[in-house]
Amino acid sequence: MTDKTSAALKADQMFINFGPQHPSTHGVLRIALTVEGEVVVKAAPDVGYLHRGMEKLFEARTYSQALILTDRLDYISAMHNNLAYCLAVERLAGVQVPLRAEYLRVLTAELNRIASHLVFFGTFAVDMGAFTPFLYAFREREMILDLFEMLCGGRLLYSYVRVGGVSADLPAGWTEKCREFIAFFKPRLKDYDTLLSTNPIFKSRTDGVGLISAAQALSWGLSGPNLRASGPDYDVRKAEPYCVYDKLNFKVPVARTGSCWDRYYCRMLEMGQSAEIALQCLDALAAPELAPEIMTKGVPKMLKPAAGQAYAHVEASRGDLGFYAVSDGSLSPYRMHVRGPSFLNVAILQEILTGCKIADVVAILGSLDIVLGEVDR
Amino acid sequence: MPAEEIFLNLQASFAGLVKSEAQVKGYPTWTVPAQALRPVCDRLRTKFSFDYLDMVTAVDWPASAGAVTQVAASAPAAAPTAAGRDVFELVYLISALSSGIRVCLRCEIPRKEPSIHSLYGIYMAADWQEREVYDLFGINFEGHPNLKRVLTPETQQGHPLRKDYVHVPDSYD
Amino acid sequence: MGIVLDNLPKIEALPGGSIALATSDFLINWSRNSSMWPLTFGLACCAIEMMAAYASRFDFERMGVFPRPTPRQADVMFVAGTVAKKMADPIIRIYKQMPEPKFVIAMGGCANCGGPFYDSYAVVKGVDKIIPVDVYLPGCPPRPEALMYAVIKLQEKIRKMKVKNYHGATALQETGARKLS
Repeated sequence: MTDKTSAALKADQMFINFGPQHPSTHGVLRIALTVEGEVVVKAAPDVGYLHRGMEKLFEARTYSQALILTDRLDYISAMHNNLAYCLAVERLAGVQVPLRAEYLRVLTAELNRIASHLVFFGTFAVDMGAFTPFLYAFREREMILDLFEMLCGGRLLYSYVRVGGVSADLPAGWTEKCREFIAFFKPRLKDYDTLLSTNPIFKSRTDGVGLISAAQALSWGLSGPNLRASGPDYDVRKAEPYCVYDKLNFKVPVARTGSCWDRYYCRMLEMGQSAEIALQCLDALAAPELAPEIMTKGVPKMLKPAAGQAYAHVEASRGDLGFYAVSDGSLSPYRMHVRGPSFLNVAILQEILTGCKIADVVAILGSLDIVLGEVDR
Repeated sequence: MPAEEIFLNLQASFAGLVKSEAQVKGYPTWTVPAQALRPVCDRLRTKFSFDYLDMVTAVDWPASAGAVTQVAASAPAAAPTAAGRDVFELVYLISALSSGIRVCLRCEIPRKEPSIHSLYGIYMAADWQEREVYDLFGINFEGHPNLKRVLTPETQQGHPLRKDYVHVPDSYD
Repeated sequence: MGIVLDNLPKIEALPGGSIALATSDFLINWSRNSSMWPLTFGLACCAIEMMAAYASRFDFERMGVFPRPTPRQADVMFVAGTVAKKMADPIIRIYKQMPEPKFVIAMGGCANCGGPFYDSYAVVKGVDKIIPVDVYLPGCPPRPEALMYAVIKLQEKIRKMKVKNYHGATALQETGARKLS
């Protein structure tokens, strides 16, 4: 190729509009891609296609009404949203939570983490062209959803965690069913490894692709498995233990290179750890000193916290989910800000997509595991 | 280094940096003069390895707000001091992941032509979070390279999270 | 042929059994309602329940419902989730890209009327404000079984369509549906 033709080819840039309706955007994300041949030279993520004005709506609801809005933020792991919101409001109002409810919160949160990572596992495999894992993942996920349905009636959005506790104690037979599920689920993780994690096609599409350095990840404010895949060992459950995480024994998987495969595998390992935590919670709940009691002790329906502000965050499935609540002493929040991990996780796309091949865009986007409800709020 | 020492160190260099009366529960909260925000963050980042910007947000305190606050003044320690002062309160939560210290910085800027220095460059996480604050509150971030609306459509009138925002019905309502 | 004859009484078997007669309306509607291809298009929470409907337990494909990634190949659009104002224009555009006859199922409270976001400044209160809707499916979010019920209701509607009336277009669009902007 002569210099002239290569120069002409180089100048030939093309604009590709990716989304907002695209099967691989996991919702309604739009990325404006400028490509030069196969290589992306500029990527501009455009969000807001699901902006529902949630933070304004919080100001028009009472504290207990606002709980249902939090379900709809990160709708794949609604328990964590409920939990983070309730922790913030409890801190604001100085509410104490019964110990049994704390264990139930952790138990349901970890089960929800498994369900959420299973959705990631299924959809990421579909993005990479493998459809079968999707069917396996949803089979296991339905079992967790059945458990949640027994517990609170909801399959997807739960509003189970309430300010001051949880909405109900475990129904009869739930514990056995949960143990049954965990016993069934743990060997499945090995199946997933043989099915997908070690699949050479899958590995070559994800290993070494979409590298994020530790410095980049920290500066862009990544959190959750996306951050830990790059090296920093930061997990809110360990750094600032909430509920009863300080009494539980679990490891936080950390990888080093920050590639798509690392991010994927961190989540796979997290599922195993979540199952362990759930088992420990079940054991603790069986103890006689944690006998069932009223689940929200002495919290009025119309909560009226004194003026002030509080911040509480949890390790949600996608990362560090925080609620910043300001009260002016009235019945509804004066201001409620949601620090959605996906909002920050998606912002880094503009940097890491630059220079990658166009076929890797979907791999990188899928590996970040964003939920647009939380990005756009 | 504990948060207290960092505070004293910073206070020596930046006049006007004080411990806030309105503490965010559980986190040391410092009030920073608006013009000192960027240098303070720069110092925190380079000298004290505060490498992680958790959250940027704002709270609108128009002159009319705070009527309820005065009624609830029974808890003065936590009462928002900005109430009724006709200001925007900006809240930054910054952490040092290695030492686990997390501090909350707050600034007050006037509601009329609100503007503050951007943290873009020190923390890339400020990029979209500042755009969000700009979008929903209309606060200008000086030095931000791409300060455009991020969540609401370009056709959005006004800044929805301001307390005096009045929704103008559009073609979809 | 036996299954067809048993289940579809409008086909009249001729003596000998090798030829079946039916009206063109019946045949067209039969093929339409047995292979409804929805657009892979999720907006919010309901989209996860839609995915669950495609997946192992509920297995939508046995009803001929098989997601297509492009509007050009799709017959039905599940509006699964909140319609934000920023998304309204793309939805109209996607709807226009679908070939006739096309159908819309408004899935969930948000797509019906705004749902929990009925007082939001940023939400279109009901997708029927921008495109015509055939089936409204309540719930927040509706269960996959409910989505199946909506599809069955839509099939019932399709079976009543007459080709001569609307030149193959959906009934709603011909008879005074909202003009698309």
